[in-house]
Amino acid sequence: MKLKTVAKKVLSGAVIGAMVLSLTACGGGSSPDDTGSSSQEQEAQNTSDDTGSDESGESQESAKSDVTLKFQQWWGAELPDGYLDDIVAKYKEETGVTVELLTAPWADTKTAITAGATNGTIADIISVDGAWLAEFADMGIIADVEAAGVDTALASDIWEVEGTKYVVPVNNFAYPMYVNMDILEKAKVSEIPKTWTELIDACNKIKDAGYSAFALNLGTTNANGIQNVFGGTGWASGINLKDESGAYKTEGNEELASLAELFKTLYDNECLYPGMSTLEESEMTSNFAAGNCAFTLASAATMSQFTDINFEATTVPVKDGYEGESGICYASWAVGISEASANKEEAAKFINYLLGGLDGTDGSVAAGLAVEMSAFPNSTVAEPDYSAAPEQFQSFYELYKNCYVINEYIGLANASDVMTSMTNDLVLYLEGDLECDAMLTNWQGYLDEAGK
Amino acid sequence: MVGSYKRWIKVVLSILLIIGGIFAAFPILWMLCSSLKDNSAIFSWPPKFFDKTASLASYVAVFTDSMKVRFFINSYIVAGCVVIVTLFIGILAAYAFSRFDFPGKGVFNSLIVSVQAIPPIVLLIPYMGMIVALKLFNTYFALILTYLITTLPYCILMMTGYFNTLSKELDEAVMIDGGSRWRALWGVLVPISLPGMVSVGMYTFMQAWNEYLFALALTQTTEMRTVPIGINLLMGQHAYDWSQMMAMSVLGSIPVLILFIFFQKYFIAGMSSGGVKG
Amino acid sequence: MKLFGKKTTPYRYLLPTLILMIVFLVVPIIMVIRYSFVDKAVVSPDPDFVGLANYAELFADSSFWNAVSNTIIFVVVSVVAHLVIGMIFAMLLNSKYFSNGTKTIARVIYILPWVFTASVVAILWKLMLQPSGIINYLLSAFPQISRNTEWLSNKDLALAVICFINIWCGYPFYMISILAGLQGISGDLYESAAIDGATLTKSFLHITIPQLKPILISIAMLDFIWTLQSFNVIWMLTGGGPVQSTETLSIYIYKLAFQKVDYSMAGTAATVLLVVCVFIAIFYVRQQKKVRE
Repeated sequence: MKLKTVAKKVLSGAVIGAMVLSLTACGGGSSPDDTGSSSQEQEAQNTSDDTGSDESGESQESAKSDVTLKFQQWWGAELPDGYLDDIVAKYKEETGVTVELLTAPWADTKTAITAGATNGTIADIISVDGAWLAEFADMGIIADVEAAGVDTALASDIWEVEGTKYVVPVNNFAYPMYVNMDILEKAKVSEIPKTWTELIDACNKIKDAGYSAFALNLGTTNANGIQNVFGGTGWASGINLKDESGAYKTEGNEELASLAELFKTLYDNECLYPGMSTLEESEMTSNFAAGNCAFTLASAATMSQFTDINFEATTVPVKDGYEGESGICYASWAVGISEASANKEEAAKFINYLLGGLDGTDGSVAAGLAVEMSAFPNSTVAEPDYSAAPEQFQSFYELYKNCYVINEYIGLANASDVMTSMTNDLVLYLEGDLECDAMLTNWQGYLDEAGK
Repeated sequence: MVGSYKRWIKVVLSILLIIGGIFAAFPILWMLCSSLKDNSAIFSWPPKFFDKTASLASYVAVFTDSMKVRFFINSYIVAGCVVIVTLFIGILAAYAFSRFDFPGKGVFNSLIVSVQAIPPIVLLIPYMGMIVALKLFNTYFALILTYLITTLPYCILMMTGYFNTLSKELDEAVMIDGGSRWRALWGVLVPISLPGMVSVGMYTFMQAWNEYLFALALTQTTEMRTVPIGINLLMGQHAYDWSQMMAMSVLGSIPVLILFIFFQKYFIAGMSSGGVKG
Repeated sequence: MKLFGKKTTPYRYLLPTLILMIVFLVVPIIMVIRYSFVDKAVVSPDPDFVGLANYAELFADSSFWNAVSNTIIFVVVSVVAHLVIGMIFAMLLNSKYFSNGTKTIARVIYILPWVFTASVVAILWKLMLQPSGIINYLLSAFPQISRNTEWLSNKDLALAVICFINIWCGYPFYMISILAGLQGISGDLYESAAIDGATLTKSFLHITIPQLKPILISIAMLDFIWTLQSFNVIWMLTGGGPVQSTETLSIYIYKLAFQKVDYSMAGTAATVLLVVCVFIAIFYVRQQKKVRE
């Protein structure tokens, strides 16, 4: 009997102790440096035929060859399988530095980085979306890349917050206007609209022919339609949120009001794709790919998916009478270095490698990524060869050369929150529940508030 | 008279059964169809159940990607362990709640219920801090422990409920025969409670299999990721791979359904009622 | 010694649970409650103590009250519908009018909505409900519905649609629990009731419901708490939109924490939620006691 009670006590009481013990024991052994990734094994085989570029800092490199950099990104999920692994494998081969790829879904990379930063598990190199930039800088998550040793001459653009260079774009994705030529033909619209008046006309004809005309995504899971579609249409006609001094000026902004009225006209004419207030970018793109609407503004990266339709990629129609240069909205794959990283210099070297190779003159990595994703490299030395790209991309590329890229939301504090609030007001305005002036005044409030 | 009345009931019930079946299964049927189409066909109008693009390409893509297979294995390991540990610990606690009156019982009970109230998203950062401090970050244990904690309250409450429906005379009989409480619990109560355990186990498995937020934050390397993260990885920055997402979820649901089919004999009427009479 | 040992018996059975709960749940929860009394929690290394200022700010926020009212509608509708549908389906699947084969197949079909991860449920329904989706296509037999009919994007309908989807993916949990509970009810009870001439309705009300009561209360209360913080489905479907019409407390809190990076306010809202649930839990425990007595 007594033995039994003892056994019982041991069992019921100590189960948990044993569990916790075994957990900590196993965990301690495997957690931080558990890098037995398949790519690494591959590299081990490859090192034998390493012809190596052993001029410059080879001795220095080999002394540091046990460095492992963690690279938090979502690119691996977007690129063809193994593409990014090959880049880091080659990098290891050439420098001895291991870059471990940590891939998370795009929409949750911010959550993963924020949670990691507050708990000390953040990667060395992190990819940053324009909408997260200000918060990461504010929270001290990202470090000054220039100080870490990133060669700023290699990048045509570097994102700054209050004068400090924090994040380096690698690729820029332009947002062309896509046009479904079959729908245009069926609606007897002979030419791709070049001005707002032509756009409104074309949309009316398309609607009368029984098709949806223009897709505007105002869903708030990822509220980026206000930036990509609404903003993108404005920037093409030089309509900005900021005035010349660089301060946000939406209140009483006549140009912005005319842009809002354009969309209001499209909405009132029932030319906007139905379901706009929960439409997300991904659904909008897929709907365009399925031939459900005639026009949309979407990332050039999605172009390769439009296989079943006859489409063109072009610049956005401009406001009647506008003759200036057109701005094109863009999104980026951009990288920063985490403040908590113990290997900031090595991280900077890898970023330099992405932009300009080992010696700062070889832009092949950046160019390769750009061609693969139908993007434009931010590297000053990359010379992408788009000859294999879809012809629509090539014709867009010609138009793109006469434009400039712009995105006024990059670096905006609390960008996702501000964009959500702005989107909600825009929906109210389009549906007739809010006056245009009131909307622009609200926007001014959000934008000013966000800076504080 | 009675016969025609019964037939009427049967007809009405059958219609209900069919309507319920459509309600439950139609979306799943649509998922299955979507998983066989290519991405733009999923959005085409008019929608079709099958079209010329129908193929198993998405399934092949999942099976031939060693990383995705790894996600499935990880999810099995985690969910399997969670079910076993939750049931074991939960049954012990449920037994205490069901068979004893002791000081603090009400407090413990409300504690177990109310700690679930904090939205996981807020809990994430302090909780993750503890996991990192215990050096469990990026391990199976981090996930097992997390799901254990989230499923335990349900397990305890439900098992307490089931034990309460069983007469106390059952365990007293064992103890009169010289058995211990321990034996009364595992030898008598637990076998009778199998239907309850199966439903708790199913729920626990589902929770562990489908949880996303903590799996995202508590693991970091691709080798440790679970199925829901694999599915969300298909949601790209600009476009989703709808077809493969659907295929992966269909595949993810199959083991759960197999488990259910295997265990469903425990739901068949009369299976356990004999033992309950006490 | 023996007396002492007897007294500690229930605690020994509870020990593993208590250790886990206190270490891994109570401690983080206390940290969250602490957030609610400071400014710039998490973001700043040494935040200032601000007393109840966060609570004052929260209660003055109209978005918070909008979220509260959405949450109440969402939770009450979901829980009641779950209970009713779960009960009906469980009774159907337990009915003696169908053969075992039919019931076996039906059980598997009926459990289907339960086995998918929340984000997939959301995406599936979004695909079906989008303007060119299957729902509009099938329902276009009705003159009111066309390819342009909006479901989720209609401010007035969105919350109802969200409730419907949540009902769809949540009822199997009730069904399974009730079904398991039904097996525990002795057949003799029904037999003797039948001999006494009780109708089906009567035996349902006087035998089935009272016998299932402990289980019903438990699952309804758990479901209440879970639905209160249900996040993924709503977030993936609407992101709280259109124009905050589906913004529940969990969405509101998520936005505070991860869009505004304001953990102090997120912690404040979460603490309010916790207090509400503590009251529900106390009520539940009292109820359970009554049932047993």
